[in-house]
Formats: sequence, C-alpha cells, structure tokens
Amino acid sequence: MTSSINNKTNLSSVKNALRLLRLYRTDRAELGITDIAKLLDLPKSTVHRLVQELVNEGFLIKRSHTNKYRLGLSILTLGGIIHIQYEIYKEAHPKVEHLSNFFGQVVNLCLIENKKIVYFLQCIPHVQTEISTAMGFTKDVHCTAEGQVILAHQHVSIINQYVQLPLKKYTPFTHIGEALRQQLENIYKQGFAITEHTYSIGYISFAYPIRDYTGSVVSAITLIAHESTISTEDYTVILEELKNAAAEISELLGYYS
Amino acid sequence: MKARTRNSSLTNALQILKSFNLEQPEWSLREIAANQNISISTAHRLLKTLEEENFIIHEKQHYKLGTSILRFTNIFIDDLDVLKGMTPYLKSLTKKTGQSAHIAMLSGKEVLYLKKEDGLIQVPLKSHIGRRNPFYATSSGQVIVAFMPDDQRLALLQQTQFINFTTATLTTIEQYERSFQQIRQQGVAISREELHMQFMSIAAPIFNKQNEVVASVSIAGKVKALQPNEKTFTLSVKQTAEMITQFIQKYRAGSPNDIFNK
Repeated sequence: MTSSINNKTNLSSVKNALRLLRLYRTDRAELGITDIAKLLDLPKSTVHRLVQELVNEGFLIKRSHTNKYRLGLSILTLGGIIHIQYEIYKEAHPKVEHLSNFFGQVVNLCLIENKKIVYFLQCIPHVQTEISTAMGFTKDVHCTAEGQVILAHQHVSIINQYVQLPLKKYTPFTHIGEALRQQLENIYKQGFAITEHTYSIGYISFAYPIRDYTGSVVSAITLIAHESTISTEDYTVILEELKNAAAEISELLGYYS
Repeated sequence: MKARTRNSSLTNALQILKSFNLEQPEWSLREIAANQNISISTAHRLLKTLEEENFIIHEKQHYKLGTSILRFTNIFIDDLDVLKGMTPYLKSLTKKTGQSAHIAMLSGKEVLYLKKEDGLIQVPLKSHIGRRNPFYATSSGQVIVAFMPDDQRLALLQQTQFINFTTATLTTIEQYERSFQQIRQQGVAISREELHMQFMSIAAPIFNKQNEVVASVSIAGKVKALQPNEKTFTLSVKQTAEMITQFIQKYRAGSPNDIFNK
C-alpha cells in the first residue's frame, strides 16, 4: 500500500490540473506557464509538470510561436460525446431559436447536474449560433427561476437536502432556507417560476419545466431578460409562449399530458 | 497479482476521461478500474476528484461525463475562427449532395472530426464533432495519410494494427500503399463499407500554405444514395476541398487561431 500522504499529493495534482483546465475561457483561450502559476497560486515548476502531462494526453496544445498553451483535441472529443447525449433535444432547437427571436431575449434549456444548473442549449436573438459560449455554464440552483422550477418538482427529500445546504445569498433578493422552501412550494402549485434580481440585480428570468416520458421534470426552458428591456405587461405573453414551448419539447421527449 | 500501471494519478485521471466514448458513454467503477488497470479504491478516489470538479457525474452505479465539459468545447471552437470560416463551403456541399459533410484532421492514428454539417436525409450515422475513427477505415483518414510524406506515411502504417471492421476493410500495408497510390492519382478517396456496412464516403485533401496535407473534407451516407451519383458527388467534394485549401492558404499567417498553417 502506498502511504496516505502520497495519495493526497497525487490527488492534489489531479485537482490542480482540473482547475488549470477550468481557467480557460472564451476571452482567455491561451495561457502561459507564468499566467497559470499566478492564477492557481502554484510554483512554476509544479505548473510545468501538470502542463506536461496535460499535453501528453492531448488536453492542452503548445502554440510554438507564443510558447503558450491552449485547449487540446481531447477536450473536443469529450464535448462531442456530451453533445450526442442531447441529440434528443435537437428538434427543440428551432423552437428555442424562434422564441429567442420573437422576444429578442436569450432563451436557454438547462438541467440539474451535480447540484448545479447546467445550460446545454442557448439561443441569442438574431444570432445564428451553432454553439454558444454559455453552453456548459453552471449556476447555483436556488438563485434562478430555471433551477427553482426543476427543484420544485423533485421529491421532497431532494428539496429538503437542497434547502439545508449552506446557500449563497447572491443579492438581498435571493431566497434561502425557509423562504426558499416556501417559494418552491408556490412554484410547484403554479407550475412555473419567475425570479427577479435573485442572481444579479436587474435580471428577471422566467422558467417552465420540461418532462420526459415518465412524467418526471428533467429540464427547463428559461427566458432571461434585463428589466429595462421588458415591461410587466409582457409577462403574460412570455409565460404563455414558454408554457407552449415546454409542452412541445416535453412531447418530443415522449411526454403526453 | 495483476501488474499495476506506473502512471501518475493525473495521467490515470485524464485517461479515465478519455475512455468515455459513444460506444460506451457510461462505465461502472469496476469497468473503469479494469480498463485502467488500477485498483478499485484508486479508481474510486480519482473518480471522486473528477466529480468534485464537475468533469464526471454519477447516477446510481454508473459514471458519465459532466455536461459542463461543453464549456471547453465551446472555448476550443470559438477560438478557431479558421474553422468557422469553412462553414459556407461545408453547407454548400451538403446542399449540393444532400449528404452530411465533415472536416477532419489526423490525430495520432485516428481521424478526428472538427466540423459537421448534417445532411438533408437523417441517416443513423454516428458522427459528431470530436468523434474519432481509425484513419485506415474511412475515406477522410485515408486521403490525409495518402498525401503525407513517404516516411511519415510508412511509419504510421507500420505502427498500425488493422482491424477487420467489415469484409471490405483492407488489412495489409501493401494493400493500403496500392490504394493510396490510386488516391494520389485521382485526388480523392472513396471508401465503401470499410467501417460500416451499407455506408460509403468520399473525401478530398486540404493543403496548407506549405502545401502539406492538413485536413480533409468528406461526405458520407448510404451506399444506395452515393453510388448512383458518385461522379458528380466526387467532383463536388474535390471542388469544395480546393476552395477550402484556397481559404486556408489566404488565412492570415501566424494567427494563434490557425491550427493548419505553420
């Protein structure tokens, strides 16, 4: 048996390498050893070793003329495998796109994974995007309408688990604890969720649940708007259209009400 | 006692990530340990770390890739505007032929699909961006290897263990060398049922400024859809490859986004 100290160091190298990959963003697609060392607060020699292993396995590529590193082809392969898992939602794409253009707002499909909301399809008004930079983006469940509407439809034991977590109050409007539980109950009764300023001041989101063939709520459709771009009179029509889209997408997944 | 690998934890973790594929998108703990040749407790610790960082999720007894990995794909693709610039060419090829069209490059012994445009007819062909196939069983891989420098091509062939996917798959270096010679003469590779029965593909090479083969463009579909139109489709694929070659060669040199030119 290897010593536990040894295991700990080894796991920390895994953890650091995964964090290293997470440093990459669309506006930060290339990083040098020094950049990484600074961002992760690790010695350069450690970063060098991590980068070398990531390069060996194809997770990073070195750009010869800049001496910096960018994400490698192995990453592309992993993403492709996930994409295919959402093949079932492919026919939903035109509907989401239509809604986005109709209202001139961002419309997303998302689900809960590892206790977080993950966006897997996003349409931006009048931009034909094959892929959006926000796909794969994660947020806490409790601070968004889309998270709340999925959570509200889960088993009470799951809801209890969430409510008891140490949740972050993103703004003074973010509900946690008992207030959150009350809100989830209301959402369950009314069948949809609206949140105002709960994640970021000025933003309002509307969400309807999507069900699969078993009737379980598996994902949500959500429209996110800045308050300056909509008026309260728009709420009714937005909710109506989202409701229809959610029903149509649920039908694609085999759910018939 | 089974011999354990001497890989570092990190290499094992990265290899676990890479073991997820379309054929097996979900693995059990036991399968992952066996596949990596590591103990179950080590596999469990690595998976737990991967899960903490959202790279992997597990449902009941099965592990699969976490959706938030999509973020990386987007960063990767968003950065490659050279790839985005190819969209119109690929779209027009799909429009002309009705078949799904791909841009692929070689990655080790595999051909890797960087871009895909869906055909007008839905066929149960499992291809997606980031998919890998053995280079020798697909036209998109064959055409790249056929145009590689002799020493590189022969080295690659010698290192390859050919698997018989169908009765049409070639299995010796001699057979491939003969086939590659024909591909070079005709400027196009046509693959019939070498990977999947009833499927066929046509591929042409894309060259960079240094005139090195860097990628291929191909169409793929059912034999019964491609074969009757083989001549016109082949011409369309070749013309598309020439246009993309021109596009790449004009692409601003030394751009950090350019994975094709040197």
